[in-house]
Amino acid sequence: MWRNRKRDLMIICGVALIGALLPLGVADFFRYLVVLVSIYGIAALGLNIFMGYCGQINMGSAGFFCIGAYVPTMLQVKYELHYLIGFPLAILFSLLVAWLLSYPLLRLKGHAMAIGTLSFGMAVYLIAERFPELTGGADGITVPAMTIPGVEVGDKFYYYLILACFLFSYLGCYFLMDSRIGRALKAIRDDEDAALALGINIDQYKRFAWLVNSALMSVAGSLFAQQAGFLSPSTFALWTSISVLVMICVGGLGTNLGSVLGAAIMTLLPYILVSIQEYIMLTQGIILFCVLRFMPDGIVGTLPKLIRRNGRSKQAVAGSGEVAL
Amino acid sequence: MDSYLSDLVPIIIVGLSLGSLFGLVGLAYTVIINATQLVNFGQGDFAMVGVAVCWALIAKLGLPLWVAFPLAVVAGGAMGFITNAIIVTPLLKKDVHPFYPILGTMSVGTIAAGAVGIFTGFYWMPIEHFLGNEPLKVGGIPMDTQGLLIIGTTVAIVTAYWYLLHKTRLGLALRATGFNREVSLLAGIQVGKMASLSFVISGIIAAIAGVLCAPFSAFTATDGMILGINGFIALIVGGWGNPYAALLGGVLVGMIRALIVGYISSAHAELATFLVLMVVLTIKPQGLFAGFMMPKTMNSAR
Repeated sequence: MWRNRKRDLMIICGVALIGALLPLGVADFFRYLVVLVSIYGIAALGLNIFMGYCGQINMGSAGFFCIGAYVPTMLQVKYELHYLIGFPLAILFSLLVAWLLSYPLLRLKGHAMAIGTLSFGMAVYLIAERFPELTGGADGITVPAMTIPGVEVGDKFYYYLILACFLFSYLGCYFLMDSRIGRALKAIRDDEDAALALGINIDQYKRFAWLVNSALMSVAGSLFAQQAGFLSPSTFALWTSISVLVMICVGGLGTNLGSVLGAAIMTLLPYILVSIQEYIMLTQGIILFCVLRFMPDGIVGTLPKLIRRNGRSKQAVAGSGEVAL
Repeated sequence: MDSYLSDLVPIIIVGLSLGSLFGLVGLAYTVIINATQLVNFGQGDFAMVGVAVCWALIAKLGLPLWVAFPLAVVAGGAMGFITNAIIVTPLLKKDVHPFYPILGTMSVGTIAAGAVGIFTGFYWMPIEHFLGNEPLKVGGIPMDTQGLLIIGTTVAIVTAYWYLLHKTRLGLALRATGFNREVSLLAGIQVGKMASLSFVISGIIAAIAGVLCAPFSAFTATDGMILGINGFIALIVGGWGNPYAALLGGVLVGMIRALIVGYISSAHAELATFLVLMVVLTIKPQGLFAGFMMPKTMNSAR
């Protein structure tokens, strides 16, 4: 266990180092792709904790993404509150919303939970679109650039900020899932009744996973707003929830690595495969279909079986061996 | 006060037609749920495929409606059959988690929406009112003919479905499959065929609903999802796995929506739908009319 962890940490540090050095050598477009993958990676990690590890269903994650994007932006536009205050406030606000929602939603199971969370996501989207005085309405709103005295806030600053947030989230999820909490969540996923019999407080742990999910989605939303520079409610429609869901299914439910890989694949593939916006929906549908039909364990669950590697991938397989949702 | 009351009758008609539309989509879900215990997240896209076929036949090939409509319905049924054949049955055989076949139906729906979207450029697929734009006047109150048509069709379809389910051997087999798959298999029911049949019936109902509502709302390739969600809300508000409860739930949701559009503002109607759903999920998660018209044994088949 410990040797594995040492190796994993070294790999993560290596990735961090490569990430930190990247802007020196590569084109702006490539840097932009890394930023996008990091943002969606954070979102996917969050959803994965709730869906992959805890085995619940969340089809409205874009709601928290939306809150994370709009709260700091509107605070800046309306009250000129600095982003460094706005970001934590956004997280607190989405935690509050998630905590309130956890009472009706987490009692539900299966399809009822799916439609409940979905309706939350749609409700947030509709609020963003139909209340112009609150959010700028359907026309969208320009996100003012961040200013920090003494620091040049440019592309590179955002690159490092977003990369740092991503690595921090990944490490957090990594340690969380190795801990007592992670084991409890997996136990709930595998068999709720058995977990209850073992003395695991199911409600508390589900709520915890739901809160972590909301917080990470909100962080991703805040970073997305900064990176995009413009917010339009249609960005946060149902489709965003579904594409994050597709990401974690493609990568492999219940693995942190899988979530990030899935985020990378689903973000990059449209850039590689198609240059026309109209084809993206079809492409994503086909990818989801192929993954479900031909490798239901996702990439992290399937590839190691094919190439028979040891170490980290073996551990990943152990995590996703039973693809319980 | 007087104008409020005189507005009320048209609003009720709109609410009823909207509600029966949602109920019809909810019924389409219920058909599959009753036979396989699965939710088909591609349901709205079945309806969208029906609309797309109907629109393409009328606008591109110049066929009359009475030819295009049945062909669109056939396309909806085919869509259901294909979904079941290429993803649902293979995934059920693999014995994966129950949510995976559901995601599978969603992926097929997304592919359909994406393909139709490329074909139409995600623009509207307009279909004319079936009986002309002129509203029918009953006692001085104008009534939209399309809305009346939707209400009538819904009543007819629900009656037909009730007859199929409760008065025929086929319906008995369908109900038995949903009630207990293994025992039905032992009793000699072709369970696989029943699942397939339920998808076909569901696709047919969804396509009818889609084509009927297309003249009302400007339907685009991605709007199938919205219709599907509204139908699913009708189903959850009404009651799980109960076609009549889904219809009642649809009428309730449609009424609330029409009243809000009529008296408050059209911008908040959709939001209200989701709030109603949240309230129902909070106070009565099994649905408001869960036991309505259903024998007790069917309720325990959840």
